[in-house]
Amino acid sequence: MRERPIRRGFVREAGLAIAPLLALLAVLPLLYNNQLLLLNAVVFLVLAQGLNLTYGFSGYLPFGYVGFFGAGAYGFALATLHAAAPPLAAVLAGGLAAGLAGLLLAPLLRLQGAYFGLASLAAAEALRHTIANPDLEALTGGPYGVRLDVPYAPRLTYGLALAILGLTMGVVAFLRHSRFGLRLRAARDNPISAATAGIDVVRGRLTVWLVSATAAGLIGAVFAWSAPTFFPDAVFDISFSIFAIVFTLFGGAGTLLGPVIGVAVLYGTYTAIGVSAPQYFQLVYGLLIMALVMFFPDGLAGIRMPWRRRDD
Amino acid sequence: MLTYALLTGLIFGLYFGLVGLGMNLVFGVMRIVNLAHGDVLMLGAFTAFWLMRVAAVSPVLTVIGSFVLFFAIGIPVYYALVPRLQRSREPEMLSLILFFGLSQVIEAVMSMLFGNNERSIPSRILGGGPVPVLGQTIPFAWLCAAAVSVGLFCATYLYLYHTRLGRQTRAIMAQREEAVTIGVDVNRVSAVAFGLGTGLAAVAGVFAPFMLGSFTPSIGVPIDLVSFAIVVIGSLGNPLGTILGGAIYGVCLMLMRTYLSSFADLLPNLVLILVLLVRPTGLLGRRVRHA
Amino acid sequence: MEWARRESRRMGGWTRRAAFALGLAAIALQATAVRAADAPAEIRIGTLYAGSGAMASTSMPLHVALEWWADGLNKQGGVFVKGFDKRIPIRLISYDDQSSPALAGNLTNQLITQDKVDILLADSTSVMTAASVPVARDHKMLLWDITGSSPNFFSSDNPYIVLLALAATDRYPKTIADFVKEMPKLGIASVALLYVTADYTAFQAAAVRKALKDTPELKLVFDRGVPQTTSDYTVLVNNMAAAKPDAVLEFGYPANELSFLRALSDNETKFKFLFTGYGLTEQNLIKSNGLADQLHYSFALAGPGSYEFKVNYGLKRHEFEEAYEHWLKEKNVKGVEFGYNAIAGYQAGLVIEKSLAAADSLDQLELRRAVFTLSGNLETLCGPFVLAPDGSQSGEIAPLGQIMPPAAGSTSLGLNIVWPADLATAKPVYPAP
Repeated sequence: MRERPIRRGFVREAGLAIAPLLALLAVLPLLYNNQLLLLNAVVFLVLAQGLNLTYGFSGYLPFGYVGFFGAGAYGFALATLHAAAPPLAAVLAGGLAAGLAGLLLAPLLRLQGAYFGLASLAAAEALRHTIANPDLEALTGGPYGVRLDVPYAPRLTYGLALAILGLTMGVVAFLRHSRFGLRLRAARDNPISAATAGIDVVRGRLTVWLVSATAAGLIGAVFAWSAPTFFPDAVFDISFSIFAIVFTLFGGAGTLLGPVIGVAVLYGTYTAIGVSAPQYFQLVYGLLIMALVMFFPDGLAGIRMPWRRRDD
Repeated sequence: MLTYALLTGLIFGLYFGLVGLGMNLVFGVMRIVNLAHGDVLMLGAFTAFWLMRVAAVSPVLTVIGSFVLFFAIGIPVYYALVPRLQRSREPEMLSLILFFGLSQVIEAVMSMLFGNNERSIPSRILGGGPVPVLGQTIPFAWLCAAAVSVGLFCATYLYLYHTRLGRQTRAIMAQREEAVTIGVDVNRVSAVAFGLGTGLAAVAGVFAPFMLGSFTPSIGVPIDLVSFAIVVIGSLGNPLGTILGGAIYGVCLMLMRTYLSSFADLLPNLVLILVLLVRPTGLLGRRVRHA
Repeated sequence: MEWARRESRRMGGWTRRAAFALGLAAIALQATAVRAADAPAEIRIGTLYAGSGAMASTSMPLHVALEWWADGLNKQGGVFVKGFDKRIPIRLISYDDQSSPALAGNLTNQLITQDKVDILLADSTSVMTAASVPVARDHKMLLWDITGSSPNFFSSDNPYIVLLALAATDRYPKTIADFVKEMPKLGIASVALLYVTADYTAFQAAAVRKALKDTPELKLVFDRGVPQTTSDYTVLVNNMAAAKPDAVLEFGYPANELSFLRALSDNETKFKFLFTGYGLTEQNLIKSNGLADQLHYSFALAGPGSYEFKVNYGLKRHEFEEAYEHWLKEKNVKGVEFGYNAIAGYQAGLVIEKSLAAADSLDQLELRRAVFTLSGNLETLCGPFVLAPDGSQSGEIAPLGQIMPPAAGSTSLGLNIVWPADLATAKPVYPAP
């Protein structure tokens, strides 16, 4: 995949966007002590960036993205329960489980548009029902969930989540500035040239797909570590997918900071509404989603400011 | 037991064909996936609950009334949402999000107004107890639902193949650009198709309390998923294929319940993925699937 | 005294000085006044509820009951806390988790770290409670678990949880499990078991299955778990009838129960002995759905929603029902019905009330100690309150009842208690006519 030295743009984005963001997130726990809320925000950042990878660079919008998150959480759980793996190794196992799930579902990439979106959702549901199958209780805990005996380590889990975020954003920045990424994006915007570009694009899409799946799996494993008693429904909750999609679209897919802004604004609103006017939550959120699609289909990044430089 | 599973599966499947029919019609014409479909169905169930259970309106009138009502509601909803959506870069993809938002709004409003308790309608309102069929007994309500489904499939067929508007609808489904060049008013035809889709969902909703046991404001999203699976199994964009999709789904589901009940939930998802991978055009599809 | 430090940090300089002066004066006067001056301005009770989604129908009645309870106490000046020897107003801090466990974990953390609640309640049901259990434990906060009865939550190494309003799921069906052993005496030889494969129902089914295995005269002719999403039982009822069982035991959630009873009604299938998990608990719901006929002569656990337990503290069931209905009308609450979950909310309030009256401070382990002093002594509308050492509930065992057709001229169903023998009011009617 390495075909040209990474451009200066990548270094600039890594230095001017990723590093400050990570630094900011790293000091936030000192100012605000609901660490689980911060961790969840980082979880959504990773999911949004992971989704940004597949959607922003190859045009696939997986509604079932949560499947990888759940696969990661259960990969972590099974490694802990059956292999007595130490938590850090179990997190890697979570990433691996999601990567394998991604490989298994790679044939879905043959589909397009809504077919792909909903087929991936069906795949996530199939995975959930397989794990929740009462006949597999001895292996997965079935519908009765799992209770893991892992040490409570808020700092470590949060730090780990930040590291995963940094890596995922690094891949996004790399794709934005490498020829590989540009070719993928060109293929995304123009399917006919994609066909002529041939095998390279297909392999590229698969790579991005697997990286995206692994990112969701790793963060799912961290999530499982931080909340080690859960039922299958909790980690395969479709709202993870929906939120990741909405956050990404809101900020603008294919950009580096769009999903970050999406999470900051919308997850912030989400939490604020949830606390202040919970009875209207679903209504406000539904209306917000509709307004987003109707008026800003390309997200905030799609609003052309007069002083904005065309950089893509 | 086998006969019973096959028979109830077929009847259940016919009904679920009706559940998917409207969604398929809307997708065929507009290339949008209506994730608020299940919520319209839920609204139909509420309408049936009030009309039949509270106001004691006859079932036949309820079916007709809810169809007309939701057909009329569907048309302004079309004009408010769809033309604007079609102008965006990826209408098909964005439709998923837009209609998911709409579905959330409907669910939120209904649960705020009427609470989240399960509601149902006693089957005896339809009149008649279990009916013996091929040596098995089938609930009367199921037969009613299946009969109405078959009736509506026939009506949809007549509409698509024997009316001017219907032929234009098929023209748009086959070749949108060409239809425009030969002077078809895409907006008008689409609006009617959207209205029909909403009306059909509402009629499916009238029978939901009988087929699903009970309903709450939150049944929408799970129904969408099943409905999409059925539509794809039949053939997305070919409304009449839905009946085959429904029948396959129904029979498989009942067989699973009889012989392998713990896997019953897994089934529609697996069938959906398999059909998409093995025969991406659906069992009755001909055209290549392109977004 | 963790709270005291927190409170004084929050107080401004002037108030602090005033409090200090007041404190000095109080020392000069008497000891109780010192405590009163130290007392917090309010007792913060944090709770979650599901305002929308799948759990809303169980969660809302419970939450409304808590609001009613807090309001009632506040009208009397608050809840009496032994440690401060006075009544302190309650502040109920509630968040809507929308039936999402992930959000519930988050909000539990919010209650602990931001709102700094003194008493932390979980949302109803095991699925939602699961999210709060590890968070509470990590922050060393006692989780007042109302109806999260999964045995998975309790272990001897976690002191930070107590179960208030429901016996743990493996103990809850005790009377039906015991009754299974009596079945051969009635002439029952074969049994069918149909249950939903969720934590709550599957644990109950397991308890009954064990009793069946211990009774060699009984043959288990049908044993099937179905997903919780099962909405149509027609085929299942048909399959079950084909196995020709003398007795049918069914465990499901309310929506499953409705579908099950509807399938019986639509197929006109009758079993000689029918037990349903929610037949009594959700009788109002079943009635309002027009399926009450199906319950005639069926058996169910007579939980606090349908059985008047002997009470030594708080309102009796029918008194509470009246007060609750009145509150619903007064506050114009829509879509919430009286039932077991409402009682569970009130029960949580009663236990909190009694515990605070026995607690020397608001320290979490002291609160746990206080709750445990109630074990074996407190009898409420939920039944006798008995805690196992791991914090799970072993009391509040519901007797087994048989639902009788309404007496002539009445519309409400009758109820005979048939087990345990010392509470029984009638002999079981078998086979159902």
